[in-house]
Amino acid sequence: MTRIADLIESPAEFLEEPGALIVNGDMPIQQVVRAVIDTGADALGIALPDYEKPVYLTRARLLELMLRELDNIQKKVNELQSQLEHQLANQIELMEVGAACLLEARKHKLESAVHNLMDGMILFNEKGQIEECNQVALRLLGLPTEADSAAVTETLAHLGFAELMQPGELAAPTQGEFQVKSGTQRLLRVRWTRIRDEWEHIIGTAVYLRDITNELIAENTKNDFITAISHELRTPLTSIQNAVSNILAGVTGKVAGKTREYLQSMQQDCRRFADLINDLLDIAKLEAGNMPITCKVMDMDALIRMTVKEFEQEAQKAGIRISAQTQGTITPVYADIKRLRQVLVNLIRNAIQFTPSGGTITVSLKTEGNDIIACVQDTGVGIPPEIQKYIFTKFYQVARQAGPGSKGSGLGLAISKGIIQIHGGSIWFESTPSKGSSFYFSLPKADPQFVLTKHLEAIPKTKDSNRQTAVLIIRFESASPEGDIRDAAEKIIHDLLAQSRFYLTCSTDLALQTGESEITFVINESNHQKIDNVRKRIEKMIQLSIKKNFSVLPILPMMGMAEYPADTKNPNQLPEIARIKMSNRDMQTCPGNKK
Amino acid sequence: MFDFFGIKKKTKKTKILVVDDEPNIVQTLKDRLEMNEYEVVTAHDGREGLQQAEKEMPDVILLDVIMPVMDGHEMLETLRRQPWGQDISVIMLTARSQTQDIARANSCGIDDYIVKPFDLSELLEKIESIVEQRKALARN
Repeated sequence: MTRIADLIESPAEFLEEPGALIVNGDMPIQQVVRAVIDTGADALGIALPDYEKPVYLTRARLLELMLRELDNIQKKVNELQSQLEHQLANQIELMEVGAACLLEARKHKLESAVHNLMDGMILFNEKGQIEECNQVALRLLGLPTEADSAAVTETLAHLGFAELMQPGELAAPTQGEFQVKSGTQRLLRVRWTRIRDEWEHIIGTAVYLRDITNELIAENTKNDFITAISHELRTPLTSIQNAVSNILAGVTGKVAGKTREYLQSMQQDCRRFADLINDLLDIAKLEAGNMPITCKVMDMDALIRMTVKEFEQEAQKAGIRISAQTQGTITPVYADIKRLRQVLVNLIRNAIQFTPSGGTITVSLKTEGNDIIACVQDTGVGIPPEIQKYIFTKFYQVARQAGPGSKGSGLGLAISKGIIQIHGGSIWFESTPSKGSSFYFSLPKADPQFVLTKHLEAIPKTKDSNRQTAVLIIRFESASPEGDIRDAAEKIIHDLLAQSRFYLTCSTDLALQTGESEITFVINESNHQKIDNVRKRIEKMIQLSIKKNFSVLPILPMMGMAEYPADTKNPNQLPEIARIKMSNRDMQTCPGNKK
Repeated sequence: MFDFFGIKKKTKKTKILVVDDEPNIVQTLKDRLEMNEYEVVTAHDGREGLQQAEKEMPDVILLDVIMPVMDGHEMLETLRRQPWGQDISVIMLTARSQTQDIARANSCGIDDYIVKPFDLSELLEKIESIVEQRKALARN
């Protein structure tokens, strides 16, 4: 706030004005002006501390002084502004320099990262010119370290990468394996991708090269080793096992007493040995991440009932009651049936081993949302809390003791966990010491329609190999009000699914339930005759199944088959055509009606 | 324990060709199958196996995979190319449980496979089941 006194530079020049309004020199100008206007005074007397008499100003003079002051202020403001602007400019310049340094440093870092990568890397700009190419890339391409961009471009074009250097979207695939000769024959895995800015415009291309020759050699060596072990150990074991089995079966005459006992324990040990080999191979494969699984649509419900049945005798011998508590309806999962059986066997074996005589084991199955959850529950000794976190670790065995009943390899749970994980499920347990344990595993439920669609989608790709594909649909009269007929139909479906291995000999077969009491088979075969054979076999199976289990039931299975490409060029129409054919078909030819 | 299948009266014996390079395995298989009233012929490699198959026209072939001269896969592929080799049932005896093995054999049409070492009773069950199906088909 400017004081009125500040306007006065040399107080002596001002003459006394009569009738002037006297104000204190410390008053702010604004207040003084207001007072002058309010009182209507023509002149102003300003009392200054160092002077006896006030300094007098006329109105005109006051205005003049005020204008001068305003001018001064304006000047100061201008000065300040220019100072500020200067400072700002300095700061911006500083920032720019800093940013440039930073960017340079980062670029340098990036460059050095690119150059020190274990993998080869080549960056193209949007015009397809090489921006960056590290030494590893040159080495992998078999080029000298001083090779220029032209040489790299030429080599890449030679390998079939000309498209990468052209603008536009890339066709799939975006990775491949290439043989190059740099000294020795090497195998490169090359991946490439377009680089895009935030508006999805292509601003360049990145190409990564990796030498996988050694990985491949290691992989092959390991596989060879596994195969060798598997073959070399199994062959002699097979012949020992066969010999023992033959002697016990009476090929060499009657066997009794101690000899029989010895042979029986030999036979048991042969099986243990075989199990141990299998377990070791399985854990090796799981750890290497290459456990082969052959997924098919399978019925978990049937698998549990089948597996429990296998253990009835063994449990009974140990004084344990084992039962399957399942829903009794087809519960499809897309999985490797042998591997899931292995998990169930491991869990049930453990349960038997740790359950004292008089106990019970219950294997149950339920559906929860999109998952199925299987549970093996026992009333056994339980798992002490302090070791619970170790039980899925390989070679860990709970309270191992000598004698019968502790015959595991210590790998069962580790293998089970691995198998469930590669199926996209999880495994866990609950246990109370001296009360018992429950082991659970969950798996995603298969949507049969989805699997069928996926399968049908793959069909056009096999067109060139002269393959024929057929969709065979069997429908059981489940709409019948009588429950027993419906049950019978479902039983046959179970039997068919459980035994599909025996009557489908074609290269690709898929049996799945697509609706209530309806099974769909997808048959992919080399010729029409074979497809027809498969159909006949399935018909025969149904006939046998009806005769064997439900000889008097008035059940009428219906069949319809549509062939690709004979019936339609569109694989997705196959199921519909099969259904139409099924309804047109003369009932007399249905297998269930023959008897 | 499932050997009782074999004691059933058969009008004509089912003929089985065993192809394996391990003499011990061939011998034990032959003994057991014969005890179960099957007629058994043998071969020790794929080439001999093909000759025996053409000459003897077996119902079922038990076929090992890894063999000298000609392996099981090659023999199977050659067999399936012959006009007389289409309808012979084949069970692969594989020492590997690797899927690519089974997939390769499957594409040539095998009826079943069993992984070594196996229980003979399990193998006998598989044979019995295939024989039953062949008979059912023949009647059709």
